[in-house]
Amino acid sequence: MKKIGFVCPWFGWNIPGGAEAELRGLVTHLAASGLPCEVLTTCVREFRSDWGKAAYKQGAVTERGIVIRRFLPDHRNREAFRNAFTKILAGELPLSDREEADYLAGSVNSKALYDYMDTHREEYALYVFLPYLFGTTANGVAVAPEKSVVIPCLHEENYIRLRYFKERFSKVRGMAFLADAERAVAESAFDLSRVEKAVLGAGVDTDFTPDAARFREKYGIREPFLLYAGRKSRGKNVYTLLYSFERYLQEHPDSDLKLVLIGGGDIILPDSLEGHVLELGFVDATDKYDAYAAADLLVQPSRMESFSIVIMESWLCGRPVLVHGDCAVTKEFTLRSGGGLYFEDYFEFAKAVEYLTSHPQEASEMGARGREFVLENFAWDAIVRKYTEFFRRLAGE
Amino acid sequence: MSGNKQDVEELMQDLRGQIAAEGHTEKELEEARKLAYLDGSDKGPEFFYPELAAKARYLDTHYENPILFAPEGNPVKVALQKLILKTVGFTYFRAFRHQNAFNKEVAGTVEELTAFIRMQEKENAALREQVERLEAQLKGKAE
Repeated sequence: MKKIGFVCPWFGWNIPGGAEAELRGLVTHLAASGLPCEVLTTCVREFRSDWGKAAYKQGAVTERGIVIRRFLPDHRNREAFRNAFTKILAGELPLSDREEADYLAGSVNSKALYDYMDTHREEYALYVFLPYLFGTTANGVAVAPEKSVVIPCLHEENYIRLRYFKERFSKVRGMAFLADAERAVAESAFDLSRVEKAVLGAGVDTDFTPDAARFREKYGIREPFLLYAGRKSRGKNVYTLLYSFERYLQEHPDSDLKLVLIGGGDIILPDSLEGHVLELGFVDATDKYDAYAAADLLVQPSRMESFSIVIMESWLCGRPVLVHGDCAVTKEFTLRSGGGLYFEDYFEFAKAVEYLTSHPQEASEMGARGREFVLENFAWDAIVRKYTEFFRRLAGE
Repeated sequence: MSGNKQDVEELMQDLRGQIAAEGHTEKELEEARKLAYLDGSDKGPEFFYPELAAKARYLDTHYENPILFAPEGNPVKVALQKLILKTVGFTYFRAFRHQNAFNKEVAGTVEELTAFIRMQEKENAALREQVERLEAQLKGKAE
Protein backbone atom coordinates (compact mmCIF):
# COMPACT_ATOMS: atom_id res chain seq x y z
CA MET A 1 0.00 0.00 0.00
CA LYS A 2 1.19 3.55 -0.71
CA LYS A 3 1.79 5.93 2.19
CA ILE A 4 -0.94 7.44 4.36
CA GLY A 5 -0.21 11.13 4.98
CA PHE A 6 -1.73 12.43 8.21
CA VAL A 7 -2.23 16.18 7.85
CA CYS A 8 -2.57 18.31 10.99
CA PRO A 9 -1.90 21.94 11.98
CA TRP A 10 0.88 20.99 14.46
CA PHE A 11 2.49 17.84 15.75
CA GLY A 12 4.51 17.04 18.86
CA TRP A 13 4.90 14.12 21.24
CA ASN A 14 4.03 16.12 24.34
CA ILE A 15 1.64 18.85 23.20
CA PRO A 16 -1.80 19.11 24.84
CA GLY A 17 -5.14 18.41 23.18
CA GLY A 18 -7.48 15.48 22.63
CA ALA A 19 -7.21 15.36 18.84
CA GLU A 20 -3.44 15.77 19.08
CA ALA A 21 -3.19 12.79 21.45
CA GLU A 22 -5.49 10.74 19.23
CA LEU A 23 -3.32 11.47 16.19
CA ARG A 24 -0.13 10.48 18.02
CA GLY A 25 -1.66 7.19 19.12
CA LEU A 26 -3.19 6.42 15.75
CA VAL A 27 -0.04 7.10 13.72
CA THR A 28 2.17 5.21 16.15
CA HIS A 29 -0.03 2.11 16.30
CA LEU A 30 -0.80 2.04 12.58
CA ALA A 31 2.89 2.38 11.73
CA ALA A 32 3.74 -0.38 14.20
CA SER A 33 1.22 -2.62 12.46
CA GLY A 34 3.07 -2.15 9.17
CA LEU A 35 0.94 0.53 7.50
CA PRO A 36 3.26 3.16 5.96
CA CYS A 37 2.35 6.45 7.70
CA GLU A 38 3.78 9.95 7.60
CA VAL A 39 2.85 13.18 9.36
CA LEU A 40 2.51 16.29 7.18
CA THR A 41 2.28 19.40 9.29
CA THR A 42 3.45 22.98 9.80
CA CYS A 43 6.36 24.30 11.82
CA VAL A 44 3.96 25.75 14.42
CA ARG A 45 4.52 24.32 17.89
CA GLU A 46 0.96 23.84 19.17
CA PHE A 47 -2.52 25.35 19.56
CA ARG A 48 -1.47 28.01 22.08
CA SER A 49 1.46 29.23 19.95
CA ASP A 50 1.50 31.99 17.36
CA TRP A 51 -0.04 30.26 14.32
CA GLY A 52 2.11 32.27 11.93
CA LYS A 53 5.43 31.58 13.64
CA ALA A 54 7.73 28.66 12.92
CA ALA A 55 8.96 26.93 16.07
CA TYR A 56 10.51 23.99 14.23
CA LYS A 57 12.85 23.94 11.24
CA GLN A 58 11.14 23.09 7.99
CA GLY A 59 11.98 19.71 6.48
CA ALA A 60 11.63 16.02 7.26
CA VAL A 61 12.71 14.29 10.45
CA THR A 62 12.17 10.73 11.64
CA GLU A 63 11.06 10.38 15.24
CA ARG A 64 10.02 7.10 16.88
CA GLY A 65 10.02 5.52 13.46
CA ILE A 66 7.61 8.08 11.98
CA VAL A 67 8.56 10.50 9.19
CA ILE A 68 7.37 14.01 10.10
CA ARG A 69 7.45 16.61 7.33
CA ARG A 70 7.11 20.19 8.57
CA PHE A 71 6.39 23.20 6.34
CA LEU A 72 6.58 26.93 7.03
CA PRO A 73 3.25 28.46 8.10
CA ASP A 74 1.71 31.24 6.03
CA HIS A 75 1.55 34.86 7.09
CA ARG A 76 -1.83 35.52 8.74
CA ASN A 77 -4.20 38.48 8.62
CA ARG A 78 -4.86 38.41 12.34
CA GLU A 79 -7.22 41.40 12.37
CA ALA A 80 -9.57 39.90 9.81
CA PHE A 81 -9.37 36.49 11.50
CA ARG A 82 -10.14 38.01 14.90
CA ASN A 83 -13.17 39.77 13.51
CA ALA A 84 -14.62 36.56 12.05
CA PHE A 85 -13.59 34.48 15.05
CA THR A 86 -15.30 36.74 17.61
CA LYS A 87 -18.48 36.70 15.54
CA ILE A 88 -18.43 32.90 15.45
CA LEU A 89 -17.89 32.73 19.19
CA ALA A 90 -20.73 35.17 19.81
CA GLY A 91 -23.01 33.13 17.56
CA GLU A 92 -23.46 35.97 15.03
CA LEU A 93 -24.06 33.60 12.13
CA PRO A 94 -24.16 33.28 9.21
CA LEU A 95 -20.90 35.03 8.37
CA SER A 96 -20.54 36.76 5.03
CA ASP A 97 -18.50 34.98 2.33
CA ARG A 98 -15.70 37.46 2.99
CA GLU A 99 -15.71 36.76 6.73
CA GLU A 100 -15.67 32.99 6.19
CA ALA A 101 -12.74 33.39 3.82
CA ASP A 102 -10.99 35.60 6.39
CA TYR A 103 -11.53 32.98 9.08
CA LEU A 104 -10.00 30.18 7.02
CA ALA A 105 -7.20 32.29 5.57
CA GLY A 106 -6.37 33.58 9.05
CA SER A 107 -6.33 30.09 10.56
CA VAL A 108 -3.15 28.03 10.49
CA ASN A 109 -2.18 27.37 6.86
CA SER A 110 0.87 26.48 4.83
CA LYS A 111 1.02 27.02 1.09
CA ALA A 112 4.27 25.04 1.08
CA LEU A 113 2.42 22.09 2.62
CA TYR A 114 -0.38 22.28 0.06
CA ASP A 115 2.14 22.52 -2.79
CA TYR A 116 3.96 19.45 -1.46
CA MET A 117 0.70 17.51 -1.22
CA ASP A 118 -0.15 18.49 -4.77
CA THR A 119 3.18 17.58 -6.35
CA HIS A 120 3.63 14.33 -4.37
CA ARG A 121 0.03 13.12 -4.53
CA GLU A 122 0.98 9.96 -6.41
CA GLU A 123 3.16 8.83 -3.52
CA TYR A 124 0.25 8.80 -1.09
CA ALA A 125 -2.74 6.48 -1.04
CA LEU A 126 -4.71 8.88 1.16
CA TYR A 127 -4.38 12.16 2.99
CA VAL A 128 -6.02 11.96 6.42
CA PHE A 129 -6.93 15.26 8.08
CA LEU A 130 -7.74 16.05 11.69
CA PRO A 131 -9.30 17.88 13.42
CA TYR A 132 -11.78 19.63 11.14
CA LEU A 133 -11.77 23.28 12.16
CA PHE A 134 -8.33 24.53 11.09
CA GLY A 135 -7.10 25.86 7.77
CA THR A 136 -4.85 22.85 7.19
CA THR A 137 -7.98 20.69 6.97
CA ALA A 138 -10.45 23.03 5.26
CA ASN A 139 -7.89 24.19 2.68
CA GLY A 140 -5.90 20.94 2.61
CA VAL A 141 -8.83 18.77 1.48
CA ALA A 142 -9.20 21.03 -1.57
CA VAL A 143 -5.79 19.85 -2.87
CA ALA A 144 -6.88 16.26 -3.57
CA PRO A 145 -10.45 15.70 -2.36
CA GLU A 146 -10.62 12.30 -4.07
CA LYS A 147 -8.01 10.93 -1.69
CA SER A 148 -8.87 12.99 1.38
CA VAL A 149 -10.26 11.46 4.56
CA VAL A 150 -11.35 13.64 7.47
CA ILE A 151 -11.45 12.59 11.12
CA PRO A 152 -13.34 15.68 12.26
CA CYS A 153 -13.42 15.25 16.07
CA LEU A 154 -16.41 17.58 16.22
CA HIS A 155 -19.36 18.24 18.45
CA GLU A 156 -22.29 20.62 18.26
CA GLU A 157 -20.69 24.08 18.08
CA ASN A 158 -20.86 27.24 15.99
CA TYR A 159 -17.89 26.44 13.72
CA ILE A 160 -19.67 23.55 12.02
CA ARG A 161 -22.17 26.02 10.53
CA LEU A 162 -19.56 27.65 8.28
CA ARG A 163 -20.51 27.14 4.63
CA TYR A 164 -16.88 26.51 3.63
CA PHE A 165 -16.79 23.33 5.69
CA LYS A 166 -20.07 22.16 4.21
CA GLU A 167 -18.93 22.81 0.65
CA ARG A 168 -15.48 21.26 1.00
CA PHE A 169 -16.40 18.25 3.13
CA SER A 170 -19.13 17.25 0.68
CA LYS A 171 -16.39 16.35 -1.83
CA VAL A 172 -13.97 14.35 0.30
CA ARG A 173 -13.43 10.60 -0.14
CA GLY A 174 -14.22 9.56 3.40
CA MET A 175 -14.98 10.65 6.93
CA ALA A 176 -14.31 8.67 10.12
CA PHE A 177 -16.11 9.39 13.38
CA LEU A 178 -15.42 8.65 17.00
CA ALA A 179 -19.07 7.97 17.87
CA ASP A 180 -22.50 7.55 16.27
CA ALA A 181 -23.61 10.79 17.91
CA GLU A 182 -20.73 12.67 16.27
CA ARG A 183 -21.71 11.23 12.89
CA ALA A 184 -25.30 12.42 13.43
CA VAL A 185 -24.10 15.97 14.18
CA ALA A 186 -21.85 15.94 11.09
CA GLU A 187 -24.64 14.68 8.85
CA SER A 188 -26.93 17.42 10.12
CA ALA A 189 -24.33 20.10 9.34
CA PHE A 190 -22.69 18.85 6.13
CA ASP A 191 -23.85 17.17 2.93
CA LEU A 192 -22.13 13.78 3.22
CA SER A 193 -24.35 11.90 0.79
CA ARG A 194 -21.40 11.07 -1.51
CA VAL A 195 -18.84 10.56 1.26
CA GLU A 196 -17.82 7.12 2.59
CA LYS A 197 -18.56 7.23 6.31
CA ALA A 198 -17.60 4.98 9.19
CA VAL A 199 -17.79 5.20 12.97
CA LEU A 200 -14.45 3.82 14.09
CA GLY A 201 -13.87 5.29 17.56
CA ALA A 202 -10.59 6.32 19.14
CA GLY A 203 -7.84 4.25 20.66
CA VAL A 204 -7.36 3.94 24.39
CA ASP A 205 -4.26 2.66 26.19
CA THR A 206 -5.25 -0.42 28.15
CA ASP A 207 -1.89 -1.58 29.40
CA PHE A 208 -1.88 -0.45 33.05
CA THR A 209 -2.75 -1.87 36.46
CA PRO A 210 -4.41 0.58 38.83
CA ASP A 211 -4.18 0.32 42.61
CA ALA A 212 -6.99 1.97 44.59
CA ALA A 213 -5.36 1.40 47.98
CA ARG A 214 -2.14 3.07 46.81
CA PHE A 215 -4.08 6.23 45.88
CA ARG A 216 -6.01 6.35 49.19
CA GLU A 217 -2.83 5.89 51.17
CA LYS A 218 -0.82 8.44 49.20
CA TYR A 219 -3.44 11.18 49.50
CA GLY A 220 -4.89 10.16 52.89
CA ILE A 221 -8.45 9.69 51.64
CA ARG A 222 -10.58 7.22 53.57
CA GLU A 223 -14.04 8.51 52.62
CA PRO A 224 -16.03 7.56 49.52
CA PHE A 225 -15.52 10.07 46.74
CA LEU A 226 -16.67 11.29 43.35
CA LEU A 227 -13.89 11.94 40.85
CA TYR A 228 -13.63 14.63 38.21
CA ALA A 229 -10.69 14.25 35.80
CA GLY A 230 -9.84 16.83 33.16
CA ARG A 231 -9.50 20.55 32.59
CA LYS A 232 -11.42 22.55 35.17
CA SER A 233 -13.28 25.22 33.23
CA ARG A 234 -16.74 26.61 32.71
CA GLY A 235 -16.74 25.12 29.21
CA LYS A 236 -16.46 21.66 30.76
CA ASN A 237 -19.51 22.45 32.92
CA VAL A 238 -17.49 21.98 36.11
CA TYR A 239 -19.61 24.50 38.03
CA THR A 240 -22.63 22.25 37.55
CA LEU A 241 -20.69 19.52 39.32
CA LEU A 242 -19.50 21.84 42.11
CA TYR A 243 -22.88 23.41 42.86
CA SER A 244 -24.73 20.10 42.48
CA PHE A 245 -22.28 18.53 44.92
CA GLU A 246 -22.70 21.49 47.30
CA ARG A 247 -26.46 21.07 47.25
CA TYR A 248 -26.13 17.31 47.64
CA LEU A 249 -24.13 17.81 50.84
CA GLN A 250 -26.69 20.33 52.13
CA GLU A 251 -29.45 17.78 51.59
CA HIS A 252 -27.35 14.89 52.96
CA PRO A 253 -25.75 16.46 56.05
CA ASP A 254 -24.60 13.08 57.38
CA SER A 255 -22.79 12.16 54.16
CA ASP A 256 -19.01 11.91 54.28
CA LEU A 257 -18.79 11.90 50.49
CA LYS A 258 -15.87 13.88 49.00
CA LEU A 259 -15.16 15.28 45.57
CA VAL A 260 -11.66 14.82 44.14
CA LEU A 261 -10.56 16.97 41.20
CA ILE A 262 -7.56 16.13 39.05
CA GLY A 263 -6.32 18.13 36.07
CA GLY A 264 -5.40 21.70 35.21
CA GLY A 265 -7.43 24.90 35.04
CA ASP A 266 -8.69 27.38 37.62
CA ILE A 267 -12.07 27.41 39.31
CA ILE A 268 -13.57 29.27 42.25
CA LEU A 269 -14.65 26.85 44.93
CA PRO A 270 -17.66 27.85 47.05
CA ASP A 271 -16.58 28.41 50.67
CA SER A 272 -19.09 25.82 51.84
CA LEU A 273 -17.15 23.11 50.01
CA GLU A 274 -13.96 23.68 51.95
CA GLY A 275 -12.91 20.35 53.44
CA HIS A 276 -15.21 18.44 51.08
CA VAL A 277 -13.27 18.96 47.86
CA LEU A 278 -9.73 17.82 47.24
CA GLU A 279 -7.98 19.58 44.36
CA LEU A 280 -4.93 17.61 43.27
CA GLY A 281 -4.07 19.48 40.07
CA PHE A 282 -1.97 17.61 37.55
CA VAL A 283 -1.00 14.12 38.68
CA ASP A 284 1.14 11.52 36.93
CA ALA A 285 -0.42 8.68 34.96
CA THR A 286 -0.05 6.16 37.79
CA ASP A 287 -1.89 8.40 40.27
CA LYS A 288 -4.54 9.14 37.66
CA TYR A 289 -5.34 5.48 37.05
CA ASP A 290 -5.20 4.76 40.79
CA ALA A 291 -7.67 7.62 41.36
CA TYR A 292 -10.15 6.14 38.88
CA ALA A 293 -9.95 2.78 40.64
CA ALA A 294 -10.34 4.31 44.10
CA ALA A 295 -13.32 6.52 43.21
CA ASP A 296 -16.90 5.42 43.76
CA LEU A 297 -17.66 6.89 40.37
CA LEU A 298 -16.35 9.34 37.81
CA VAL A 299 -18.53 12.36 37.00
CA GLN A 300 -18.22 13.81 33.49
CA PRO A 301 -20.49 16.90 33.51
CA SER A 302 -19.33 18.26 30.12
CA ARG A 303 -21.97 18.73 27.45
CA MET A 304 -19.50 19.06 24.57
CA GLU A 305 -17.35 15.98 24.10
CA SER A 306 -16.50 14.25 20.85
CA PHE A 307 -15.10 11.18 22.66
CA SER A 308 -14.14 11.66 26.38
CA ILE A 309 -11.09 9.55 27.10
CA VAL A 310 -11.66 9.94 30.88
CA ILE A 311 -14.86 7.88 30.91
CA MET A 312 -13.02 5.14 29.00
CA GLU A 313 -10.19 5.20 31.54
CA SER A 314 -12.64 5.06 34.44
CA TRP A 315 -14.28 1.99 32.90
CA LEU A 316 -10.92 0.35 32.30
CA CYS A 317 -10.33 0.78 36.03
CA GLY A 318 -13.66 -0.89 36.72
CA ARG A 319 -15.62 2.12 37.96
CA PRO A 320 -18.97 3.45 36.70
CA VAL A 321 -19.54 6.95 35.31
CA LEU A 322 -22.19 9.63 35.63
CA VAL A 323 -22.45 11.77 32.49
CA HIS A 324 -24.54 14.73 31.36
CA GLY A 325 -27.64 13.62 29.50
CA ASP A 326 -27.29 16.53 27.10
CA CYS A 327 -23.94 15.30 25.74
CA ALA A 328 -24.91 13.01 22.89
CA VAL A 329 -21.56 11.22 22.74
CA THR A 330 -20.99 10.37 26.42
CA LYS A 331 -24.66 9.45 26.84
CA GLU A 332 -24.43 7.15 23.81
CA PHE A 333 -21.37 5.37 25.22
CA THR A 334 -23.00 5.05 28.63
CA LEU A 335 -26.17 3.55 27.19
CA ARG A 336 -24.33 1.19 24.84
CA SER A 337 -21.99 -0.06 27.53
CA GLY A 338 -24.35 -0.07 30.49
CA GLY A 339 -21.41 1.40 32.36
CA GLY A 340 -23.16 4.16 34.28
CA LEU A 341 -26.00 6.64 34.49
CA TYR A 342 -26.76 10.13 33.21
CA PHE A 343 -28.40 13.26 34.60
CA GLU A 344 -30.28 16.20 33.14
CA ASP A 345 -31.08 18.08 36.35
CA TYR A 346 -29.98 18.23 39.97
CA PHE A 347 -32.54 15.68 41.20
CA GLU A 348 -31.28 13.09 38.71
CA PHE A 349 -27.71 13.92 39.70
CA ALA A 350 -28.53 13.36 43.38
CA LYS A 351 -30.48 10.15 42.79
CA ALA A 352 -27.74 8.74 40.57
CA VAL A 353 -25.03 9.56 43.13
CA GLU A 354 -27.15 8.05 45.90
CA TYR A 355 -27.71 4.90 43.87
CA LEU A 356 -24.13 4.39 42.76
CA THR A 357 -22.64 5.04 46.20
CA SER A 358 -25.16 2.88 48.05
CA HIS A 359 -25.17 -0.09 45.64
CA PRO A 360 -21.49 -1.09 45.45
CA GLN A 361 -22.21 -4.43 43.81
CA GLU A 362 -24.28 -2.88 41.01
CA ALA A 363 -21.78 -0.03 40.62
CA SER A 364 -18.94 -2.52 40.21
CA GLU A 365 -20.95 -4.48 37.66
CA MET A 366 -21.51 -1.27 35.69
CA GLY A 367 -17.77 -0.59 35.81
CA ALA A 368 -17.07 -4.12 34.57
CA ARG A 369 -19.54 -3.71 31.70
CA GLY A 370 -17.83 -0.43 30.79
CA ARG A 371 -14.43 -2.12 30.80
CA GLU A 372 -15.68 -4.87 28.52
CA PHE A 373 -17.12 -2.22 26.19
CA VAL A 374 -13.80 -0.34 25.97
CA LEU A 375 -11.72 -3.46 25.42
CA GLU A 376 -14.06 -4.64 22.68
CA ASN A 377 -14.32 -1.33 20.83
CA PHE A 378 -11.42 0.97 21.67
CA ALA A 379 -8.38 -1.14 22.55
CA TRP A 380 -5.62 -0.25 20.09
CA ASP A 381 -5.63 -3.61 18.29
CA ALA A 382 -9.35 -3.19 17.53
CA ILE A 383 -8.85 0.43 16.42
CA VAL A 384 -5.87 -0.44 14.19
CA ARG A 385 -7.89 -3.20 12.52
CA LYS A 386 -10.90 -0.92 11.87
CA TYR A 387 -8.85 2.02 10.53
CA THR A 388 -6.69 -0.25 8.36
CA GLU A 389 -9.76 -1.86 6.78
CA PHE A 390 -11.35 1.56 6.21
CA PHE A 391 -8.21 3.08 4.67
CA ARG A 392 -7.60 0.05 2.44
CA ARG A 393 -11.18 0.15 1.20
CA LEU A 394 -10.96 3.86 0.38
CA ALA A 395 -7.62 3.38 -1.32
CA GLY A 396 -9.19 0.67 -3.51
CA GLU A 397 -7.15 -2.22 -2.12
CA MET B 1 -25.58 -3.82 23.65
CA SER B 2 -29.30 -3.05 23.40
CA GLY B 3 -29.72 -4.94 26.68
CA ASN B 4 -27.33 -2.52 28.36
CA LYS B 5 -29.28 0.44 27.01
CA GLN B 6 -32.50 -1.04 28.29
CA ASP B 7 -30.94 -1.66 31.72
CA VAL B 8 -29.72 1.93 32.04
CA GLU B 9 -32.99 3.42 30.83
CA GLU B 10 -34.99 1.18 33.19
CA LEU B 11 -32.86 2.30 36.10
CA MET B 12 -33.23 5.94 35.03
CA GLN B 13 -37.00 5.48 34.88
CA ASP B 14 -36.91 4.05 38.38
CA LEU B 15 -34.91 7.03 39.67
CA ARG B 16 -37.23 9.46 37.87
CA GLY B 17 -40.20 7.72 39.48
CA GLN B 18 -38.63 8.32 42.90
CA ILE B 19 -38.14 12.00 42.02
CA ALA B 20 -41.76 12.33 40.86
CA ALA B 21 -42.98 10.71 44.09
CA GLU B 22 -41.21 13.43 46.08
CA GLY B 23 -43.72 15.92 44.66
CA HIS B 24 -41.42 18.80 43.68
CA THR B 25 -43.00 22.04 42.52
CA GLU B 26 -42.50 23.36 38.97
CA LYS B 27 -40.20 26.03 40.35
CA GLU B 28 -38.05 23.45 42.14
CA LEU B 29 -37.82 21.36 39.00
CA GLU B 30 -36.83 24.42 36.99
CA GLU B 31 -34.13 25.30 39.55
CA ALA B 32 -32.85 21.72 39.42
CA ARG B 33 -32.65 21.87 35.65
CA LYS B 34 -30.80 25.20 35.67
CA LEU B 35 -28.19 23.70 37.95
CA ALA B 36 -27.27 21.19 35.26
CA TYR B 37 -26.48 23.94 32.75
CA LEU B 38 -23.92 26.26 34.29
CA ASP B 39 -21.48 26.19 31.37
CA GLY B 40 -23.23 29.06 29.63
CA SER B 41 -23.11 27.18 26.34
CA ASP B 42 -26.86 27.43 25.83
CA LYS B 43 -26.88 31.20 26.10
CA GLY B 44 -26.92 33.56 23.17
CA PRO B 45 -25.26 36.97 23.12
CA GLU B 46 -27.97 38.64 25.22
CA PHE B 47 -25.77 41.54 26.31
CA PHE B 48 -23.85 42.05 23.13
CA TYR B 49 -23.20 45.64 22.07
CA PRO B 50 -23.83 45.66 18.30
CA GLU B 51 -23.18 49.37 17.81
CA LEU B 52 -19.86 49.26 19.60
CA ALA B 53 -18.82 46.20 17.61
CA ALA B 54 -19.80 47.90 14.35
CA LYS B 55 -17.71 50.97 15.24
CA ALA B 56 -14.77 48.77 16.14
CA ARG B 57 -15.04 47.03 12.79
CA TYR B 58 -15.17 50.43 11.03
CA LEU B 59 -11.95 51.45 12.80
CA ASP B 60 -10.40 48.14 11.86
CA THR B 61 -10.88 48.80 8.17
CA HIS B 62 -10.36 52.58 8.06
CA TYR B 63 -7.35 53.23 10.22
CA GLU B 64 -4.88 53.77 7.39
CA ASN B 65 -4.33 57.25 5.90
CA PRO B 66 -3.16 57.18 2.28
CA ILE B 67 0.40 58.50 2.31
CA LEU B 68 0.79 59.50 -1.29
CA PHE B 69 -1.70 61.56 -3.30
CA ALA B 70 -1.14 61.96 -7.00
CA PRO B 71 -0.61 65.70 -7.70
CA GLU B 72 -3.61 67.18 -9.46
CA GLY B 73 -5.08 70.53 -10.54
CA ASN B 74 -3.67 73.19 -12.86
CA PRO B 75 0.00 73.01 -13.89
CA VAL B 76 1.05 75.51 -11.23
CA LYS B 77 -0.65 73.52 -8.47
CA VAL B 78 0.83 70.25 -9.75
CA ALA B 79 4.30 71.81 -9.86
CA LEU B 80 3.87 73.18 -6.34
CA GLN B 81 2.69 69.81 -5.01
CA LYS B 82 5.64 68.03 -6.63
CA LEU B 83 8.01 70.57 -5.09
CA ILE B 84 6.50 70.01 -1.65
CA LEU B 85 6.72 66.24 -2.04
CA LYS B 86 10.38 66.48 -3.06
CA THR B 87 11.40 68.92 -0.35
CA VAL B 88 9.45 67.91 2.78
CA GLY B 89 8.12 64.53 1.60
CA PHE B 90 10.60 62.57 3.69
CA THR B 91 9.34 64.04 7.01
CA TYR B 92 5.76 64.00 5.84
CA PHE B 93 5.85 60.31 4.84
CA ARG B 94 7.51 59.30 8.08
CA ALA B 95 4.90 61.12 10.17
CA PHE B 96 2.10 59.43 8.28
CA ARG B 97 3.67 56.00 8.69
CA HIS B 98 3.95 56.57 12.43
CA GLN B 99 0.36 57.75 12.58
CA ASN B 100 -0.88 54.76 10.60
CA ALA B 101 1.00 52.32 12.79
CA PHE B 102 -0.51 53.99 15.85
CA ASN B 103 -4.00 53.90 14.35
CA LYS B 104 -3.60 50.21 13.57
CA GLU B 105 -2.72 49.46 17.18
CA VAL B 106 -5.69 51.50 18.43
CA ALA B 107 -8.12 49.76 16.06
CA GLY B 108 -6.79 46.33 17.06
CA THR B 109 -7.01 47.18 20.75
CA VAL B 110 -10.59 48.41 20.42
CA GLU B 111 -11.54 45.22 18.58
CA GLU B 112 -9.97 43.08 21.28
CA LEU B 113 -11.69 45.10 23.99
CA THR B 114 -15.10 44.64 22.38
CA ALA B 115 -14.46 40.88 22.14
CA PHE B 116 -13.43 40.93 25.80
CA ILE B 117 -16.61 42.81 26.73
CA ARG B 118 -18.68 40.19 24.97
CA MET B 119 -16.99 37.40 26.87
CA GLN B 120 -17.38 39.30 30.16
CA GLU B 121 -21.04 39.89 29.51
CA LYS B 122 -21.61 36.19 28.95
CA GLU B 123 -19.71 35.42 32.14
CA ASN B 124 -21.75 38.04 34.01
CA ALA B 125 -25.00 36.56 32.76
CA ALA B 126 -24.02 33.13 34.08
CA LEU B 127 -22.90 34.61 37.41
CA ARG B 128 -26.13 36.60 37.66
CA GLU B 129 -28.03 33.35 37.39
CA GLN B 130 -25.94 31.80 40.11
CA VAL B 131 -26.60 34.77 42.42
CA GLU B 132 -30.32 34.53 41.73
CA ARG B 133 -30.25 30.84 42.50
CA LEU B 134 -28.38 31.37 45.78
CA GLU B 135 -30.75 34.18 46.76
CA ALA B 136 -33.69 31.89 46.08
CA GLN B 137 -32.09 29.21 48.23
CA LEU B 138 -31.54 31.70 51.10
CA LYS B 139 -35.08 32.93 50.77
CA GLY B 140 -36.35 29.34 50.90
CA LYS B 141 -34.32 28.71 54.08
CA ALA B 142 -35.59 31.92 55.73
CA GLU B 143 -39.18 30.91 55.00
